[in-house]
Amino acid sequence: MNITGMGIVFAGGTGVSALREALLAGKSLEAKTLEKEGVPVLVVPPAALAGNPVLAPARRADRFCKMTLLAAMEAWQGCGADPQRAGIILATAFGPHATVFRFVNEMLDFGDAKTSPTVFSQSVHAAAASMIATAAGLHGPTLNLADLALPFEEALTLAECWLESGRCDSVLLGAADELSDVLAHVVRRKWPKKFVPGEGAVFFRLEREGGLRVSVGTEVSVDAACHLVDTEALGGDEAALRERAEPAGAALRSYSPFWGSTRIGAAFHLAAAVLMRREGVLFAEAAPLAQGGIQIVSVCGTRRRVITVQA
Amino acid sequence: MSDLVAITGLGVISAAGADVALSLRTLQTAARPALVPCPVADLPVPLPMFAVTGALPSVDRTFHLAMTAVRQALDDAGLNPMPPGFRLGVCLGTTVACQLNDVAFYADYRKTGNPALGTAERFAWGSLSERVSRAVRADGPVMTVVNACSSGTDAMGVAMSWLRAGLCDAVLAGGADELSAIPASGFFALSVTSPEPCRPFDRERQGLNLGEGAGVAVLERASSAVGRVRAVSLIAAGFGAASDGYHLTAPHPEGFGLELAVRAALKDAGIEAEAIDFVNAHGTATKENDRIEGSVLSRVFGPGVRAVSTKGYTGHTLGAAGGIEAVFTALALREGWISPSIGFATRDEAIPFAPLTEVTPVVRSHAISTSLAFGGNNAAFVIARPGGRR
Repeated sequence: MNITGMGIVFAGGTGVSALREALLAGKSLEAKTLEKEGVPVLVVPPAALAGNPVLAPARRADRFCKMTLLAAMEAWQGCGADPQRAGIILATAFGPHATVFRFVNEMLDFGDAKTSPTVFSQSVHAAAASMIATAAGLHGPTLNLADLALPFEEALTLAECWLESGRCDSVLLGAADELSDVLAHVVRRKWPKKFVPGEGAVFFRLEREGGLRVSVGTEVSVDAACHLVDTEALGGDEAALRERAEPAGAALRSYSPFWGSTRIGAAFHLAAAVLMRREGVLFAEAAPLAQGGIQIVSVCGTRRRVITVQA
Repeated sequence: MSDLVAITGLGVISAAGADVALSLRTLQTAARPALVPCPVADLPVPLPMFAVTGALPSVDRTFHLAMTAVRQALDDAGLNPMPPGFRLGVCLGTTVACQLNDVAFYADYRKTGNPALGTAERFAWGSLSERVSRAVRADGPVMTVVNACSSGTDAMGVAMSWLRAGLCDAVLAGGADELSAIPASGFFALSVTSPEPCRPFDRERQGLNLGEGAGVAVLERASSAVGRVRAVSLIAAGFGAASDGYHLTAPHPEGFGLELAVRAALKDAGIEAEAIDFVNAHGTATKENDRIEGSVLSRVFGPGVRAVSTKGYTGHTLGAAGGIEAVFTALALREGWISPSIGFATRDEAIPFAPLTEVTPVVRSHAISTSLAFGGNNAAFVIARPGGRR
């Protein structure tokens, strides 16, 4: 399958060009401290979600929906695919959980019988993808998935199944997660000072031809030009990867400080890999990128997924 | 046979029964399970709900419901224990067990700012499919589908995709959900709940009753089942899904997405509409769902369509519904009879057919289970018995 479009919303702003500039500049973002929890976090600036005409149909939507819709529509722009053969897959770890807690606030403040149907509707995981389908006029299959381990990697595998089986001609595949006070609280309690949590949304338009070839498997290649991993994501395996890959000349990088720690870091790294391959340089030093694919390596327990952007 | 996806195991738990045998007895005798006043939310009217009785824990209830059905399905498939090197995937749908939505945890967080992290700890163990995967030591792909009320049916579609792509040998597919305060409050706010036992497709229907449970099937490459299963008696023949692209909560008024999904499932199964013996409809008993679904089913299968809704036995179990109804559909094909749709008494002139109200023999080879969901998701799953009359 091939990547023919891309869109992103992250702490550095909105749009692929914002990510490119950040990666080329090589300056990781300054974390903001979440007021309530005292935790350094990388959050999407409110201005990034304001005033964009793409968000007009979502003006009453929550942040999760807005981030997702912005990234999806950037990835989809210019695509002339048959809307009945265009699918949507959205992967997340926590979904629109801030809206769920907003709904629970109403239950606690006003009683179970006096909650808002609008807030309840937006708290459902399927809301964001529904908004994308409506905004882009798509009628193919839509699938939302929520897992803490490898959600984007499994979603990419499913997208490949849909394309290779001929079920879809194009798939709008994305990953999104948002930060909330509650999540920051849990992170502070469980992993003090270990992570700088982040948030955002990344989308890819996938088709059978054109663009950059991408595949997902389980094997790490020492012939790769570069391996990308989430910070702290690999644990003991990171040392083994260094031992194998670096003598063979493959660079090992993590760009997590640009968007923060998330369970969907592989999606952000895939966006960085696409930009590196397009530019032919290794971020951030702008050194020429060696031949070979760029691999994003994810490990969770005994499960491993390796996404390869072909040379 | 190697390209076919077989259904080699079934497991189910709901208000209709704690296993396949008990559920069949309920379905065959058209016995309405006892409903209970909403046990999870404080609402001004005693909304009846379908609860699973018995010794299941209230903490992590969705996981325990899922595991009850999973164990039954694995036993039925002869996969307990699993053969060495067997690649088992897990794909389950849910609405409740996919986020940090414990009301007591959040109330404690609001009040003290320092809640016991038990809920968060449990959540950090993973989503429903991840936990089930670890519990059964599965070694294949894992995915928790959160497509609201069509999640269980969509999970069947994901399983078929994985198996056809050769990603694993078998998949535990279906859905599970417990009764929870959040959907109880939310559905009440949406004014779609009924103060009386639900009456799918009836003119006087007043809305849905929430329920809980789990339905899980073992979907397996037929070649993988050879030697372990005496004869494949059920086939996962086709799947289709489509989006309305219309509205967050309201279904498309003409059922555009549902019709696309049903026709896609028929095409995937390689059959015409005439091969379908009966439809296990979503049939929630809300005004809009039943009118629109009735219209689509009549358009696709003709006004003489044989359709039932089994929600009169289980309530609307949300993320579990597609799993439970796929299991009920498979059981009907296996047993050779269709259960009556209970709660129906008076024909609605806006719906071109009346559901079956008596135990009815199966005469054709295929059946289809449909699901509609929040967000305009629609899904349809075709099951077949090999050698049956088309």
